[in-house]
Amino acid sequence: MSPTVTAILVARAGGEHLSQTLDALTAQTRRPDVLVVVDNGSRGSVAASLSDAPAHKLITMPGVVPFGEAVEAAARTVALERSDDDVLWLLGQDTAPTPAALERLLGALEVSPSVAIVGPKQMEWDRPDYIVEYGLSMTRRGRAVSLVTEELDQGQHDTVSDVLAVGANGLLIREPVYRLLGGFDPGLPVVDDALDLCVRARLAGHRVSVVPDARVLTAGDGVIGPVMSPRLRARVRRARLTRTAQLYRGMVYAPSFSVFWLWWALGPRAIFRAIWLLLAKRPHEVGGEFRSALSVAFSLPTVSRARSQIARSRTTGWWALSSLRMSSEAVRRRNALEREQARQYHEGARRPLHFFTSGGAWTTIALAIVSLVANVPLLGAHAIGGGALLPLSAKVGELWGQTGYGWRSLALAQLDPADPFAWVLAVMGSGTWWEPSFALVALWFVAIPLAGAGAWVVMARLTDRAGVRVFAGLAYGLAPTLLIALNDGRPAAVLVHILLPWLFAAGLRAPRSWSASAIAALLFAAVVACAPSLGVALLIVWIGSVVLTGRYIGRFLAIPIPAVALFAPVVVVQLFSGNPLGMLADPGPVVPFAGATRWEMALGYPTSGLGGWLDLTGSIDVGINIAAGLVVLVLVAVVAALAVAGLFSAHPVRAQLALFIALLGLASAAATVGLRVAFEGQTAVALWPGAGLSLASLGLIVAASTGMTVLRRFSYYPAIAGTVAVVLLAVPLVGALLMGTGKVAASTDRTLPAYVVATAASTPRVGTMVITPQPDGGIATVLVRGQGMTLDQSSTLINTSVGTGEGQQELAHLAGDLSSTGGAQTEERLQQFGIGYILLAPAATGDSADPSADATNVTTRVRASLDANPTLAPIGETDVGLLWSYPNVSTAEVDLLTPESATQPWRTIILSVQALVIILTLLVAIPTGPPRVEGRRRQEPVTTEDEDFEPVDALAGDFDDEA
Amino acid sequence: MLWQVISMTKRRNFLRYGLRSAAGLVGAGIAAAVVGFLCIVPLPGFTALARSELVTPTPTDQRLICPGALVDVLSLDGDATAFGAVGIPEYVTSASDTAITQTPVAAPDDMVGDELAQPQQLFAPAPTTDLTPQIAGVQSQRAATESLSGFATAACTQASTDAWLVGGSTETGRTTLLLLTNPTEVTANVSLTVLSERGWVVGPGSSGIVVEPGTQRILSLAAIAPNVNNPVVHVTSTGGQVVPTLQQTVVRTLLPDGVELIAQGASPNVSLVIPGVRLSGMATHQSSEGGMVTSDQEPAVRVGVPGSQESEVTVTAYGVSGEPVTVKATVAPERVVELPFGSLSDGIYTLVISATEPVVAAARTINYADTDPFATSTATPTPVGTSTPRASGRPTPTASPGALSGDTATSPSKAQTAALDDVGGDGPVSGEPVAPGQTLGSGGAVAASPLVGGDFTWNVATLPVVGDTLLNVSSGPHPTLTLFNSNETDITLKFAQGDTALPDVTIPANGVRAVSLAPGARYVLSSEMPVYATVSYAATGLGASMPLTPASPLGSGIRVYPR
Repeated sequence: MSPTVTAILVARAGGEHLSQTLDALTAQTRRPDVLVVVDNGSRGSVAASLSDAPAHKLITMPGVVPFGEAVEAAARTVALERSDDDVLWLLGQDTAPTPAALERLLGALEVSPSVAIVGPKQMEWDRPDYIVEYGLSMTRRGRAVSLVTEELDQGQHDTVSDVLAVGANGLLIREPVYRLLGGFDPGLPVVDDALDLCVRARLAGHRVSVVPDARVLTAGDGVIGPVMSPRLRARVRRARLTRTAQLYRGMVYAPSFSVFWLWWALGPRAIFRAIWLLLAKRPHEVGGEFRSALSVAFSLPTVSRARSQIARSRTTGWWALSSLRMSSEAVRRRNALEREQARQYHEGARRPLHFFTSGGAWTTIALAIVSLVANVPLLGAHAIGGGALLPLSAKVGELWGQTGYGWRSLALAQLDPADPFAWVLAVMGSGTWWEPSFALVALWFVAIPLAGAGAWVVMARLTDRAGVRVFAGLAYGLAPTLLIALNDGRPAAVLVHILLPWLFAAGLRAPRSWSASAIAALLFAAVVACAPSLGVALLIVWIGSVVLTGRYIGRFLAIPIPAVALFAPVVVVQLFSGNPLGMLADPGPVVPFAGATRWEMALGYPTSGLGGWLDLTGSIDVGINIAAGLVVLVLVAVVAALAVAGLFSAHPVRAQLALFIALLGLASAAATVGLRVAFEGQTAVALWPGAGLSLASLGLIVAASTGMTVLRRFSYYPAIAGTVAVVLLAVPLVGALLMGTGKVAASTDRTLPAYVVATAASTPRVGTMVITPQPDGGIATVLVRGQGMTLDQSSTLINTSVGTGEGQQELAHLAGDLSSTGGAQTEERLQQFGIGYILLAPAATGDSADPSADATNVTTRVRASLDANPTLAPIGETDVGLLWSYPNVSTAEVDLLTPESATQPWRTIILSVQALVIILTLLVAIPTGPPRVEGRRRQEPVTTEDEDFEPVDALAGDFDDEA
Repeated sequence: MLWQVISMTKRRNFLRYGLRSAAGLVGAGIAAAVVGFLCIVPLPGFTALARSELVTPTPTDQRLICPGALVDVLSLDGDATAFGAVGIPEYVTSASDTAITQTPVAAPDDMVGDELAQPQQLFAPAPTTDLTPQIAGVQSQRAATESLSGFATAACTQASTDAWLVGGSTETGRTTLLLLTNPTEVTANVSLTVLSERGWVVGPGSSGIVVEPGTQRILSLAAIAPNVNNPVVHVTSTGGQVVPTLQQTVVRTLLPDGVELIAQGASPNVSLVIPGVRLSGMATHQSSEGGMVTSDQEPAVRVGVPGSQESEVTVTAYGVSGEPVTVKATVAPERVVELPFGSLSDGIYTLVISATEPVVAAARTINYADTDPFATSTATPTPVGTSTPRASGRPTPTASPGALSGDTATSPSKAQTAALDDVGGDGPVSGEPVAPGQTLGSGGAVAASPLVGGDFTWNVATLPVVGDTLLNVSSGPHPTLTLFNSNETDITLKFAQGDTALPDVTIPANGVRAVSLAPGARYVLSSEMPVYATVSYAATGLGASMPLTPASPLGSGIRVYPR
């Protein structure tokens, strides 16, 4: 006798899918005996589509319920007339069976009584010859795997019949078995519901098989299983639900003694898996991971109900399933295949850089030789000084201690967040952990080749012409702004120049890779930390990228996050102290410089004198200066002309963007040099314009390189012209480095007299008050503790602060009293602040060359007062100024001034947030191969038929085959 | 068909290149415009204001040093010399908001050593209130011994580490002693450098002069710089600070011809002011020829250039009335010269010296023994308001040796009139400006043979005073306060004597005012604007001057830029 087939069709919305499904049911060669349509919260649209449907029952659910619950509701209504031969056929609104489907399924049930559940081959709705799913299995560790995904059906899987489980689409189950198993598990509302049902059927001694001849089309509307949309939101949700289901099933299937441990392990597992997800470049799934763990942790009653259900229905052991599980070998094989597929997908547009065969190595080596020769005066140095260079703290621990938040070192008692630059220095100093200050020496040696290699890589992403790449590398490595920064001792500016091309190289790849995006984010943070004033220009570039990118906007949106995390505390403090422009201040000590005029800046020079081309001493005839200026103008004009030629090349958009960036950099330089927000004593010092010029150089060089390609295979000629121009331009500056006429020189890693250093070795907190006479006849004063000022101790918040706090007032009054007659009353305060030394530094000269008369007078005054102070002992002239000591110093009271407890809780909060953001970004940044392609429809390569349309993708390369 | 395709492609290519060229031109234009804009148009900037604190130092103990009695050189057996104080000076001191303790300072070089003849320290303890007390004092002495004669005054001053003393001479017959007094608690290590008409003089023992705390050293300048006509002494000390004073005496043909105590003047500067220069007997005693000062019996301006660049010096003499007289000279680097006054007539002047390179300067005037500076009517003090000459206008100097007048509680000599009289208001001043390059010394022949028994006065360059200033007057002859206003607006000076307010004195912009003071009186001047002031004394064969100096910069407010 033929069994009674009850088809249960669950629909959430009427419409085309439902109509097609109903039509398909009508067209069945063996029609179901009863059709129960469950309106699962469609608000009437299902009923409307049912008007011309075959006879049916309509059950309307009060709202949207899980598929399992809807089926259960329908099954209950047919239970009244059940017999042992009844079967249930589960369908969704988007489950259109082929005409013979039911007949074949029933046939499979009939021939083998041990089979309780059969499932059809699930085909794609739009492409009926592609298999979506054909049988399910589990790995040894419980992950659900579909045996077949996205394959063209050529009958290759038709030999398979016994499977661990089948999907719910078109699943045919004997009604008594359904009763026995208690239906679907409410703990698995969306994903793995059918898998679980089949596993329980297997445990109850039944078999599950697939029927190759029976096919259903599924559209993935989300009635059965999750919505199969390729959109990110759907993918994120799908990943979360899959993970939740896996964790839940783990708890349900586990032996009872291990349930407790599994429950405890939910948290740690989530954390580890989150890290793994970051490494696997699936950061969007991290949130879901934690949500899954949480929801499973709170579903213990459901778990126990499910466990008792299994216990009730089970007749065999778990061993019965083991042969049907996917072996670990098979899992490995599948993963390998997946990776290969992903690589193919991702590397479609990726080209190897040919670093060694197309001039990269030679460019770097040539620049390295130039750098080595230029830095001959620094050979063998353990530390360098001069300009804005100071040594780093002697221990790596102290370097890291400067990050985050804490008592600022160069003030009496000031609690402030650290500059983001402290992170950069800490990372750099850790690289030469045995002697952190050596990191700066190393930086001076690697700066030129590293910057050049960066620019080479940027151009290599855009062109495969070796000559052009070499030009870019040499031009950027020898850019005047870098050489001036090296000559003037500007470590932050040097770092900016090195990092900028790498930032752009990473940015160019960011749309294709999470890893590149994270690297760009870290480099962005580092660049902005070194030159906050460049942040404005970079943010404009970033906004432009976000607008132009479109599809991969997510990977660009995240780029500023680490920078924001690092800068937020400083920004907040500066805003609240009413000094918003202070947040743009350059990190490191404030050192005045002779700023360039605008036209000199337009030629690429941040300081006056055209990088040594002009003689500023006035000892040379004016005519020679004018001639030298013209030479520079002509040489720069060569590069500028090439850049303009780029506008007429085959890639005008790229040239336009590059020129835009160049102009942005120039504007940034011109604007920053007008901002005088940091102080050296009384003098407000302008921001260093070199960082903006680095950006301008990079933009100009990319534009010029684009211009060179106008001549296609003859691009060597302009490349040679441009290279000659930039090399000639660099000659005086490289010469200055070689001659040691710049400000940088090898030095000890101490900034205070040896006398103080010796005392600080035994009394680390001993204070030295440094008094510097000012041009207006005032004095500047700084309190230094220990062995002296270090680069990592300097703080823009201290350097730019315009308010006078209590600490500053006390310090000012102490300095004022020490600089006046009868300093006897200062002894108590010297004791209180733990000041053991007073250093009268040479007078500050401000913008002029020599100290003013007022400064000389006040020098005399301070010296006289300190000399006459009976509590001080004169030590005499040292290489950094006149020194007095206060012999009775004790630092016992110093710790009362800056108690460690006052830094909490902010130190912990700021440090942990910043560290978390950096570590997470770092995890994403570590390249671990391409991410797996998931839920994305395979796409035919789209060919543009009309070649007149310029590809708007400005990042596309000009690779041509003739090269 | 083929042709059509080709033409279409051509048209497309044409369009493509046309569009590209147009876009390129526009882009290049925009780029050029932006670069031009950035080069030409000033962008808005922002300059933050450095935070600073004007620290008024905690007021501390105040110590002023009066150099003590005039010192004579005693001949001991053989070549050895020693010093001995002569007589006892008169001290006039005053204080506001505090009390003065006057104590002698040890002078081990002084072999005679009466306590009141020793240098005196005026001490006021650090105040306990917010008031900033002031103390001031002046000493004066009239000498008439075999080797010393004349009148000398000196203000009691604060110690310093760096001082320039312009005056003295170590020629035959001139004795110049350097008195170094260290009032501090720290040993002072003093170095001297002497600039002369021959350049820098490096003598033995000019450095490493140790002055113990609370003592005075007496040195003979001749030991360091012998046979120097025009010395300028630069005193620097490390460790403790010192008060340096030069004492110059002149002996002509065995007879004394004047004595003077020379205080430190303004440091090298491109602009100096010497107020209170009283010229007398100009008509009868001019003696220089050819613009050179050949004798120290003639008034002169001594100008020294310590730097290594020659200095174009312009001396402008402002009289009480009449047009200022200007003279210009070029002084070689590292040299000292004396410029004559030339055709200026008698009267009281303020010299303003401006120079292209920093200079030091002082003016020497002669009080001839045969010339009464007040003999001519033009030089007679003219009382303000009542044009009656004061009866007590020319008292004989009442030298009251040992009469300590330091008690501030006693009111000043009430016999003196409280009025301040203008001096030399309408004296005929040579209104003829001297042409550039010309010197003042174009005068006539020797008018009179030098007479022994006169005196001379060194007027030093002063710094302006502002605010309340205590002014003590010795009981010397004809004390006259010369005030110079270098500002572009008039200054009204308030005077008070004790609790009595005197009529205000207005000094015209860029002008001079001279008022006569009462001998032995104590005044308080107050001025809102900086004003230069010197008290000068003159009589027949007697003369001295005492500049009013601002309080030591070491005690003044200082701007501190803390970080």
